Amino acid sequence: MRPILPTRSDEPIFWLMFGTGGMVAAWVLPAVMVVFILAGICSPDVTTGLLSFAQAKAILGNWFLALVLFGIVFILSFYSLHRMYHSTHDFNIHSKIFWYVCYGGAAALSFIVLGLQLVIYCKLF
Amino acid sequence: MAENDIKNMKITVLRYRPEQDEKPWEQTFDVPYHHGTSLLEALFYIKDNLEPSLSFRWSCRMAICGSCGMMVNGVPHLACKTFLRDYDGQSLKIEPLANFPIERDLVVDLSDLIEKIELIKPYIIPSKKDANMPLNKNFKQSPMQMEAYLQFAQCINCGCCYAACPQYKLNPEFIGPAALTLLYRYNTDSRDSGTAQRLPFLNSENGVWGCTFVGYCSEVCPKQVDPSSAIQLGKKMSATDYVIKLFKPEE
Repeated sequence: MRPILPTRSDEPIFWLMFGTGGMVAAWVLPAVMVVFILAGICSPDVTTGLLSFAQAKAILGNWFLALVLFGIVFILSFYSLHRMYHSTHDFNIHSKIFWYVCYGGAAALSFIVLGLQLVIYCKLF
Repeated sequence: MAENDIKNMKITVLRYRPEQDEKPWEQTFDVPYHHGTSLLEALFYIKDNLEPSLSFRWSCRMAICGSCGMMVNGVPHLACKTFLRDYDGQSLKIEPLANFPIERDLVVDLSDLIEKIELIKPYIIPSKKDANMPLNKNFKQSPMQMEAYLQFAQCINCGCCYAACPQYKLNPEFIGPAALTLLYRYNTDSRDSGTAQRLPFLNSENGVWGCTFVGYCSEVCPKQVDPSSAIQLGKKMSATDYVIKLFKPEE
């Protein structure tokens, strides 16, 4: 018997985001992709069509759509990089550096996207 | 292959006699078999006719006792539940269970598995009000309440899942598939009130969070216990507890 109780792991935070990301990847992402692919097929002209720069700016100018798109990017980046981090463990790489690379990368990606969205939302260009 | 046809198969066994051998070595035997010959019977044949010093564990011969776990061509199997007919035209390589220290020939030291099973308190811990319940009274349980844990109660502690688990191989401190499955099994039992005592082990880095869901344990389990599913459900249990404790910390 080991006398001292083990400490609680903080893994649930990342695992819950991983689980949410899995659901988003399975349910929400295909729907979003269908919308964008259909838009691309229906009006392939990227200068004046549905996927033109002006349209993209208009989509991100809507706070609700911007929030949804940010949520998707945020959760999917944590989802995929969480899996990658645990795969490094399976490959017998146990460096803490990968923890910072993966979760830091996911956080950085999310912040960059959030920043871009804010720039567009505030009509800074 | 007709029922009574006798064929021969080359069976290579990893031998290790600690008082004689520096390191394990391989010995090959030619073993006759028919449709109904199990690997355990083949080992009996070797011990009775070819090499009396061969050591291996066995008891029930019917996949109940969990003694005869061994690696068959690199895959953990119960020798009694493995039939030579399924390897027709091939040769067999028999090794002791992986990830455990070898004691002698096919006998491994399972004490780590036993210690981990003990660690997680694999027995019903009654609540205070039930502690002095007379023996002639019994706990009532609905079929649904039984369904919640029954599959996970079929474990025979053979150790095949530990031999299959890449996480246990990397980190021997990992509590591992069978013990975590039993932990979940008792935590979901409606008669049990020991959840709080077991949760610290479930919640730890070497508990369910040491698992990366490779799922090989469930593939090799001879009793279809599906330990990886129990561990995933355990992760749900641990995550729920984590969120609850965020808002209601322990004193």
